[in-house]
Order: sequence, then structure tokens, then C-alpha cells
Amino acid sequence: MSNTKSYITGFVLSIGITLAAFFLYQLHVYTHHQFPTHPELRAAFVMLAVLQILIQLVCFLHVGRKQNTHWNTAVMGFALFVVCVVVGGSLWIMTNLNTNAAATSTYINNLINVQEEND
Amino acid sequence: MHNSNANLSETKAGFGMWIYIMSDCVLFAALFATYAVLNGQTFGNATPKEIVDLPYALLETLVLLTSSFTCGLALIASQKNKKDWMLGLLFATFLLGATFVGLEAHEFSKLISEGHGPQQSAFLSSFFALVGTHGLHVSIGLLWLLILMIYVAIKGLSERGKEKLFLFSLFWHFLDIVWICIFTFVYLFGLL
Amino acid sequence: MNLFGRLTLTALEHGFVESIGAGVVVLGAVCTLALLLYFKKFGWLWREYITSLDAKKIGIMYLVLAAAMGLRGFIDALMMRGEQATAVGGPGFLPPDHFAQIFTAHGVIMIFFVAMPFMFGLLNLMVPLQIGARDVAFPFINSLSYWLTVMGAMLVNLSLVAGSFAATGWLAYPPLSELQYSPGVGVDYYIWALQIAGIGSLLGGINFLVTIIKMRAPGMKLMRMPIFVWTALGSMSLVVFAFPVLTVTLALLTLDRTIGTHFFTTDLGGNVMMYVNLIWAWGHPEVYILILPAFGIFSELVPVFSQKRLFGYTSMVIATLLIVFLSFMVWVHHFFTMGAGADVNAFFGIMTMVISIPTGVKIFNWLFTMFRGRIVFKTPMLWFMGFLFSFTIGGVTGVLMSIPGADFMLHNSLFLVAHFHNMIIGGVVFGFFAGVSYWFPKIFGFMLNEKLGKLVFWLWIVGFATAFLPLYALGIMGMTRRLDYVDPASGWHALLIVAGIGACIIGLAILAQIYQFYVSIRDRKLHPAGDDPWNGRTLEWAVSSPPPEYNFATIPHISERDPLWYNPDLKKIVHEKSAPIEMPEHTAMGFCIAIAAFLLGFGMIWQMWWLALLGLVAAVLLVIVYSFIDHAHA
Repeated sequence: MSNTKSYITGFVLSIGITLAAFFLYQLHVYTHHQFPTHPELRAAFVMLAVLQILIQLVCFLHVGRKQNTHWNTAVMGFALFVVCVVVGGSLWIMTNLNTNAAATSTYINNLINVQEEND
Repeated sequence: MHNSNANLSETKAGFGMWIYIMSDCVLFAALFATYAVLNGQTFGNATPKEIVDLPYALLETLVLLTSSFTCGLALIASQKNKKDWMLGLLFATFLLGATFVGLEAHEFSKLISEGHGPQQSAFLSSFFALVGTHGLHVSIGLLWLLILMIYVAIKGLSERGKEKLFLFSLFWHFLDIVWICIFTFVYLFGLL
Repeated sequence: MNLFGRLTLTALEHGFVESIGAGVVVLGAVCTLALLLYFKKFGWLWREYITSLDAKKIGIMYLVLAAAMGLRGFIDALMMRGEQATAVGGPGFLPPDHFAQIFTAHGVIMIFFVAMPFMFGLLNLMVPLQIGARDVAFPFINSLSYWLTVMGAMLVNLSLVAGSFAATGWLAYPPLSELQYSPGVGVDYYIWALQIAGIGSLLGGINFLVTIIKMRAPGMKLMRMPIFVWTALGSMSLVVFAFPVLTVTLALLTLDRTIGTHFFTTDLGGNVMMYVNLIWAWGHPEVYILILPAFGIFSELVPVFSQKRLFGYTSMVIATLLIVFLSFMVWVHHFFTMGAGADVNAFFGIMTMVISIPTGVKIFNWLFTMFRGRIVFKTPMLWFMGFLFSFTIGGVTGVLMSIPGADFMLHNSLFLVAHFHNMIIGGVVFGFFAGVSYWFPKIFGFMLNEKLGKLVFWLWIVGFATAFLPLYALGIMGMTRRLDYVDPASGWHALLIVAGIGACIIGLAILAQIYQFYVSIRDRKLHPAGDDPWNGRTLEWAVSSPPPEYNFATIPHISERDPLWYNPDLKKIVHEKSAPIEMPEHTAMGFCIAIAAFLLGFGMIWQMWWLALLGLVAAVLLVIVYSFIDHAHA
């Protein structure tokens, strides 16, 4: 695919995907929040985002379409790994901490209540 | 005309710029992680749903996306040694990028004047930090673009100039990719 | 608007001990300037070093920075050991707030301004030589990285004179580091020193990554690279992907402190634990950044001093890559006690145990290299032996603490302090000292005094063991870290005195090191190194000692690992003059941009906004000006 065509394709597809996400949300509002449901919308938004990122990587940044760029791809792969670990790991850890902190404070509250009852 | 972008990606400068951009991805990852963790901490102030304006964000998205497109066309023009086209397209990129920053600045100042500034809750702090850091990157990109245009205008379109433009275009395209994530996880998710 | 922000003359008021510290900094600066003036060496220093883009010169400057800051960090250590050995039942000679600043400064200086510069120094000196390159990928950025690191160090030193340093521990956890509990300039000094030096480190990481991947000599495939280069590759990958997390975390703390956001505050939804999470997501890769090159140095010298090929090259490479990946998956072990559930703690505990396996593979590979070799007991090999002993103890105690249940007892005790000093001193510092004793002849052209070298080693290892092994016992006996005095009833005092004696022995070791350098320099004409004093196996031993600025007159073609061992012709080839060589010209730009960054930092710390703006604008303008000059390099 020639260069100019690559950029035009990427541009048009990106606009399309962006508008698709917008319209999916409008559909959700139009059907009084029945269709698509929240979880379905979230999944759709994420898939559309991933799709658009891939399209821009290929059409604008020419990832995977140039000679001798294996190292570039390898570095990107490692970056993706780190991004997933930092975001996913932080979410898992912090949610876990928040749950346990809330549980602990409830537990302590109960202990205090029992204490006060016994006093 | 063969795709001479291939050569520039393998060069030291091209590879170095790529690595820097990948490190910037991790920078944004930390900001996204903070946003995700503090997302619910609205502390009585505005929730995501209340501050997200979807049509406005859509406009910002289309503006930035178009600037990414014009930047790509400018790169093609430079490869074909069409200096005037290149400068024109870069100028369009600059205008669109400046429009994006202007729109975002307006969005921020409106939120602040309505009492939803970054000091009002942890959620708002993380919103302003994430979206603001992206806006800061775009602003720095605009300064870079300006200097680049002056460089080419003064020194003509040399191999050096083409390489500088290539490095800039990597940065600029990457900023649009980060914006896709912001549009999705801040604005679209924020509506739900 | 106040021209001086919050800087007033009271910033110069200090307690008795602090005044001595301030005096030493001022005296040191004045003496350095006076000596330069007296010997009329300003011009020479400016031309030969400050404006140089030669990686070897920059490497030497990094080592000088590491040595100078190492002295300061060590004095902090002496004060802490002195305080803990003498303060029983009540405050000691150090006021509590000052003690807090000392343990904070000790950690910050040792990690950011001793270990990191030491590492970058050795990388600068040896990576281009080992891969057959003439310089790094971006010589100008190399210079900039160095000077940014220096400016960070200068801010930390300046805090002794004007104002105070952070009193929060080296990672500055909120809420203590937030404005409410640290309203002064201390935490701001900390933040700006680290942000400025951190940019230097990130740029250095990118630089070496590109250098190693793109500038190897023809024929030097990845699996023909020296292991030191492999570990440098791993370490730099960690730098590039971990430092942005530190940048963000410190920036968010800065926003909390300057404009009143609520990332890590205790009110309006802030989450203190998120800071700890993020800072350790950086902090754990950081310690692997430091240790991997040390491992690489041992992989270089053990084969040479066993006169036998490295055992298990492929498994060494795989172990290195595994360590790089796994180091991003263990960070919660630094805060097992923060309240995560069993599932989170168990996962990270198991991953921590797993990461010890590739390290074990490396140790066995070195041992198998030595087996049936003909060991040469010179100083570099002694450092390796010392490492073997002490790092193994440290590693084992680390695996002990990777069990969350055990860690609940030992977290933040002196057991932990003993463990990580075991790793950092026994691992990183011994490794870097080994590197210095191994490569000094190459860089300077003469040998270090061998007898004194052995003395230095023995003083260090005895001192280290005396200072830190008792801390394991103290940790198990219940002593917490960072105490500025102890109760006589605790029974801890005796071991603290032993630890104090250990610190003094390390002091003797450092004096012996200084003496060793003095004697070696004095006797340098008597002990020229020649090209290859150790009968080496890798490319750096083919060039002259010291190497010419361009390293290799002709860049050789490499056809196997340990190229020098199998192809002695290389020694001739690299000296053959071929085409004219162009090396990067000198420039003061890196130095000047770093000065602008310093002004930015100083202005932000003291709220002299005009100065901060001036620094920022100056830095940006200098970069723009530099970009308009066409160079053959970056």
C-alpha cells in the first residue's frame, strides 16, 4: 500500500471507529439505557480503542511494515508488558488494599461496639 | 517512490526516539493507573459523569486526529522534496494542534470556574493530571513543530530536516494514540 | 512579589552538628576552586573534561562524582552508627529531626548519587570498548545526562548549607512528605534533586540501549557480546521503563505540595498507599538496575582470573533476561504489611522466590567456571570471593523475607536493613570495586598497587561483616530501623557498639582506598599496564592503555565470543590506521543546560518563581539553539 493511501485509510478508519463509539453511546441513551448495557458498552469501547490503536500503529507509524525494525517491535512489546503490569497490578493491589482497609475498619468498629456494650 | 521511512526507523536517532516514546507510554500508564485507582474518590464533588461532555470530547478527538493525518501527509511531502507543501501541511498540523490545546484549556477553565478544579477531590486531581499531562505533551509538541518549521524555512529541506520531521511525526502520532486511550477510559467510560 | 521567595537568612541557621556539615560543603567547594586556581587548571578542566563528549572522560567524571558523594554518604553512616552506639535511654548527640535528615540523605545519596553514577561511569568507560564502538550513540546527550546528575547532587549538598533536607526516609512516603507535615524546603530539595537527576538517568538509559543495539562491531551478534554488555542491556531496559514511574510519582507529590491536589493526602479522597505502590513499582526495578551490571562485571573477570571460559553463557543470558522481566513482578514485597489480602501477598511472595532462581543460576555458573580453572588470586578475584560470601547471605535472607508471614515480623526491622545492605554493598559495591580494580589499568595505563588492593578488600569485608551481621540479630531481637536512641532494657546496645566498630573499620578501608590511589598514582611510571595486563578475552584489551580517544583505529570484524582469546590478531588489527576518524567536538551545552535545570530546581524549592521560570526558559532556549547547529552526532 503506498504511503499516501496508508494515511488516508488510517484517517478514515479512525474517524469511523471514533464515530462508532459515539453512536453506540447515543444508541444506549436512545433506548433508555437498555441497549447496549453498561458492561457491553465498556467491552465495545475497549475493543474499538484497541482496534483504532492498531490501525494508527500500522497506518500512521508503519509498525510491522518496515525492514529491520524487529528491535522497535521488541521494545514496544516490552513497553506493553510494563504498561499492563503497572496499570493492572496497581488496580489489583489497590482494590485489594481498599477492601481490606474497609473490612478492617468495620471489624474494629464492631470490636469497639462490643467493648462499649460490655462496659 | 520507495518508502524511505524504513531507513529512518532503523537509524540511531529513529530508534532512540522510539525508545523515548515507549518510556513515555509507561509515564502515561502510571497516570492512568492513578486515575483508575482514584476514579471513585469524588468526595462529594463532581463525578466523572458530571464533568464529561461527550460532543466536546468528540470535537477534540477529531481535531487531534486530523492533525495526525496532516502530519503524515507533511512527511510524505518531505520525502518527495516538496518543501512548500510540507510547510503548508505542517502549518495545518500546528493550527489543529493549537485548536486542540485551546479547546482543552477552555474545558479546564470552565471546570475550575464551576468549582470542579483539581484541588476539589482526588478524582478531579487525577483527571486534571492525566488529561493535563497529555495536553502538556501536545503543547511541547507545538513548540517543537514551530522550531522545526523555522529550521526548514531557514535551512531548506535537507536530509537533516527530513530526519527531524520524521522524529517529530513519531511523537505526534503517538500523542494521538494516547488520546485514544484518554477518550475511551476517561470520557467514554466516564459516561457510564 | 518577594524576589527571594521563602529564602531568608534563617535558612543559613543550623544546629551545631549541621553547621559542621554546612562548613564542610562550603570548605570543599572553596578548596576545589582554590586548587584549580592555584594550579591554573581551570582551562585544562574545561577543555579536557567539562566540555568533553568522549564517553571515557564522562565515565571518569561519573566515578569522581560517585566517590565524592560516597564520602558524604559514608559520613552520614558513621553519624548514624555513632548515634545508635552511644544514645542509650535518651537522645544522643543528634537531635531527632537531624537524625531523620541524615538517614534520608544517606539513602538518597547512596542510591542516586553514588550507585547510579558509579554504574553509568563504568558503562561509559567499558561498553563502547567492549562492543567495538568509538563512542555511545548520542554523545551530547551523554554529557547532558552527566551534568544533570551532578546538578541533582549539588542540590542535595546545598541543602546542608541553605535550609534543610527531607526528614522522611529516602522514599519520602506521604503523609509525612505532604505539605502538612513537611512544610519546609526539605522535601522540595529531595523532589527536585531526584527529578533532575532522574531525567539524566532516563536519557542515559536510552543512550546505552541504542548504543548496544545499533553500534556493535560487525560480526558481533547478540550471542557473541560479553556478558557485561548483556547485563548493561538488561539494566538499561529497566531504566527506560521504570524511571517514568518515579517521575510521575514525584510530580504528583509536587502537585500536592504546590497547588493543593489530593493524590496522596489523607483527605478529599487521596490515597497514601497509592504512593507506596507506585514508588516501589519503580523502586524494585531500580535495585536490579544496580545489581545487573555488577553481575556482568563478575562474568567478565571470573573467566579471566580462572583462566577458563565462562561456564553456561547461554544460561547466563537467559537468566539476565528473566531477571529483567521478573523484576517488574515482585514489587509488593516491599509493603507486604500494608494490608493487602493473602492472594496479593502470596502472588508477590512466590514471584520473589522465583526471581532468586536466575540469580542462583548465575552464581552456579561462576562457580562452575572456577572449577578446574587455574585461579589467579589478584584483587579483582578477591572482590568476587567477598561478593560470593556476602551476597549469598543477603540473597538467602531475602528469600526468607519473601514469605509474607515472616516478613510481618521482620519488615522495617534491622534484619531488613542488614539484608539490603548485604545486597547493595556485598553485591553492587563489591562488584563495582571489582570492576574498578579490573579496568583501572585499561583506562589510566598503569596498575593499582596490588598489596594495598588486597588490604582494602580485607578491611572492607571485615568491616562490612562487623557492621552488618549484628544487624540481622538485632532485627530478630525486635529492633526497628531508623531509631535515634535505644532503651537500655532492650539488650540491643552491645551489638550496636559492634556495628559501630564495623563502620569504623569500613572507614579504615576507605582511607586505605584513598592511600592506594595516592601510592598507585605516585608510582605510576613503575607499573605501566600495557595493553593486556590480565590476559583478557574481550575487545577492550586489544587497544592501548589508555585507549586513544577514538578507541579503535580500525573497527575489527568479530567472529566469536571472547574474541581476543581466539583471535590474537585483533590486537594488531585495531591499531591499523585506516580512514580519517571524526570524533564529536567539545561543547559546553550539556553543562549549561544542566545549570539552567539547577536554577529551575532552586527556584521551585525556594518559591522564587522568577528564577524557576528563568531556568526553564534558559534550558528550552539552549536546547533550541543547539538543535539549529548541525552536528555529525547528537
